[in-house]
Amino acid sequence: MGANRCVRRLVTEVRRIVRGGGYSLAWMRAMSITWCLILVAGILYFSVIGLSHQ
Amino acid sequence: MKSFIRHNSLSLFFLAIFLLALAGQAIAGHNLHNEEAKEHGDELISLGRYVTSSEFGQAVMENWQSEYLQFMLFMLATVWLLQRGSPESKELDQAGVESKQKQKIEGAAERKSPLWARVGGWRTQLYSNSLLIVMGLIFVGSWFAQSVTGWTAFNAEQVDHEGKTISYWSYLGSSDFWQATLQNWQSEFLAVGSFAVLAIYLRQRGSPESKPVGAPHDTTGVEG
Repeated sequence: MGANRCVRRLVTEVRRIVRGGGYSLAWMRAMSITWCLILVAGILYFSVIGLSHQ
Repeated sequence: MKSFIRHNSLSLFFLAIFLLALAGQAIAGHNLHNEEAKEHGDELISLGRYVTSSEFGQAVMENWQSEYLQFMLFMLATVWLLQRGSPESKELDQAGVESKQKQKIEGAAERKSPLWARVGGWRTQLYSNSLLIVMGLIFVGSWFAQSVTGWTAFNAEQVDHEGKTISYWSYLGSSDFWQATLQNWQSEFLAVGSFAVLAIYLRQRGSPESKPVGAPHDTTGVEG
């Protein structure tokens, strides 16, 4: 329950950073999110491969 | 759509050549793997199997970690360290984290400043270092991924040659891990250091990474 609330709060705060201060260009957000997803997915993918083949 | 492409052309261009280079690496790596397997009389594998192998993972991750370390260190070093004449350096009297006014935070924030730059306290502190923190996390994450894929690839080779497998912690102290790590680090440090120095005397017209073509050699911290 506490962890859920913590994650929700974190998501809200990240949204605030991305949307806040007049930075409302949707494509700019989409590009940033795409790059973040590539990085997180790449790191997780290869970590899991390394660990699961051991 | 046209303006989307124009306004995001830098990241779209690098996204496209990143995906092409990654695909090229996978194909070339797969061919090399199978050529070596043929020479040793081992079983050939499919491209799909190769891109899910630790061998491919290690090759990709060791380059990722070094790139993020390079950017992270460069960002951190240029807060305090200077290079006279370089557009990559700050002006010679600007070393340090700079004043709130110059950084437009808290009371000096503008109407359109991000909320976390305006509010002060821990949120502004965190946001003031957020780029470094995220680059650092990507560096640590990809270095970890390099270590586990490298460990698995190393042990697979040991099994092939009837050698002894080693624990993860032993692998972290091994020559295999540090050779793969440092061969990437040295090239990144060389590239950054030489770029900062070459940009004192050389120019690229129109690039924000260079000084204006007519700027004097001893002008520091000016971008074109």
